[in-house]
Amino acid sequence: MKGKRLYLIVLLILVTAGLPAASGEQYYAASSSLSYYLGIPHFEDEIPARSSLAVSTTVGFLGYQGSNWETVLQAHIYSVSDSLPFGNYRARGFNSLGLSILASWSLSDRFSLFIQGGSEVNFYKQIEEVFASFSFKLGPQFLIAEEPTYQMHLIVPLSVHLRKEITALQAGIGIRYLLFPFKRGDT
Amino acid sequence: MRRVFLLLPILILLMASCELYYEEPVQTGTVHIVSIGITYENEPDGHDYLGDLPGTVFDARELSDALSQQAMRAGWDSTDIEVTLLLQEGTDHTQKTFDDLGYASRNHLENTLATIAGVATADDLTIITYSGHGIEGTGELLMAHTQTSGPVDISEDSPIVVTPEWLHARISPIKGKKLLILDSCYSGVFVPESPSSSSWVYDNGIDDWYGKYFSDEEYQIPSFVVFTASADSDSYEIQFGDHNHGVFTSALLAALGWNHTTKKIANGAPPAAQNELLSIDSLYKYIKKHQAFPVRWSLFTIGENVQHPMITGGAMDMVLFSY
Repeated sequence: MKGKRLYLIVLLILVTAGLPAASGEQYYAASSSLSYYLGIPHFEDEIPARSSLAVSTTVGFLGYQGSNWETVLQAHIYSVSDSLPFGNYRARGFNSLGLSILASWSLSDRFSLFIQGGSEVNFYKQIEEVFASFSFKLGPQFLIAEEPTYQMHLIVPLSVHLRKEITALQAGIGIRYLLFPFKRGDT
Repeated sequence: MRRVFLLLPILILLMASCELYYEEPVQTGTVHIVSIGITYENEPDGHDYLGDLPGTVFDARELSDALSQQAMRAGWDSTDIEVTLLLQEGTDHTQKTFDDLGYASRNHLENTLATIAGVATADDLTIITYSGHGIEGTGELLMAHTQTSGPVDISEDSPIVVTPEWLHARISPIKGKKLLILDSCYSGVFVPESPSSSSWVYDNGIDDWYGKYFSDEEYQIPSFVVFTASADSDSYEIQFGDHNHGVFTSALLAALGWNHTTKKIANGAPPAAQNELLSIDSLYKYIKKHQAFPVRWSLFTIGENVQHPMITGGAMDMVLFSY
């Protein structure tokens, strides 16, 4: 029953996010970033935090851009490495698959701020265990290339990964690409 | 907003250097190795209710040797490594055999664990290996019997049955890191469920995964890790040269670089080590890749015996030896 409720929520998000896309400047998006992943445990550990490397890729399939804002529903994939070995333990690496919504506001022609929230399921790389988590990301994005059919941004995301037993802070750098299937201005 | 952008990177930078300025703990205590192997060939009066497992004693002897040699390779002095073998081999079932302190009865196991619990410190490493039968469904272990006559009692209350609760209660008080390795059928039931993650070897749905996120259970770093030959199915033996081994144990021995002819480990870091580090996960990865039997059913493995090893889950991997 709980599972059906979750599927219904995901379906509602998909439908809601799709509504504006039908009425204006729809776009698809893809992004990739490389981040330093700092896992702060909620349990007693040998050190206050452990370091890993994270690679994030997103594919936005329902995006809409207004005059000075945009929003997109996207699937995201993370890959987080094992932490650096220290002492008697190390944090396990994992791969993640999730859904998120990103929104951004332009502060000038070239500079905007984005915020992203989502949830994901995470699969440990070495063992067959899975866990759920939530993640939030914010940061500046700089427009570095623009044509009528695409935009390319440089992004500097700062993220929080909320796991049950660890809260992870991330800082990284990446690229975001927006593809407009209909020439902007057309209806 | 500017403050957030400034504070967050500063916080990350400060904590990022944890691995650099914290003194790394070095394990300097004693390594206790307890290896149990039971062939079940000594049932009284010609009974044969329990199938014979001729490879178990070889498992126990060679695993204890390989682990102690790896401990020495990792820097331990031979005087800081204590090996206890609890074995049952041959057909003898006299009281004199049962009284031998090296006989693999449940009482002797209990006494051995109590002795270790009395002396172990936080710097110690205790490894317990078991090769023998596991009861179908419950996974309970069957220690060597102590009956001079009559059929062997394997009922729930039998003095030879070891339940997960019984064993966990006697291992948990031991200070330091503990590793329990079980090569027996249905041994996956000994792996405690993680409070923070779910095994997808068993049938869990996405609602269970989110349910666990919001549950009240708290994760603790595991000082006691369980590593088993099978999940909820049988485990098997295979012929290995002139003797038998458990399928899981033979892969584990290979992971430790064991040479069956010379009875020595290979030079250098063992094959399962990653970046000069032997962790439970690196052993697990090696075994899944090199085990003689497939770890899961697929169209390509129809008709083959499937045996899936299991391991304690959660966020942290335990380092066994570093080289």
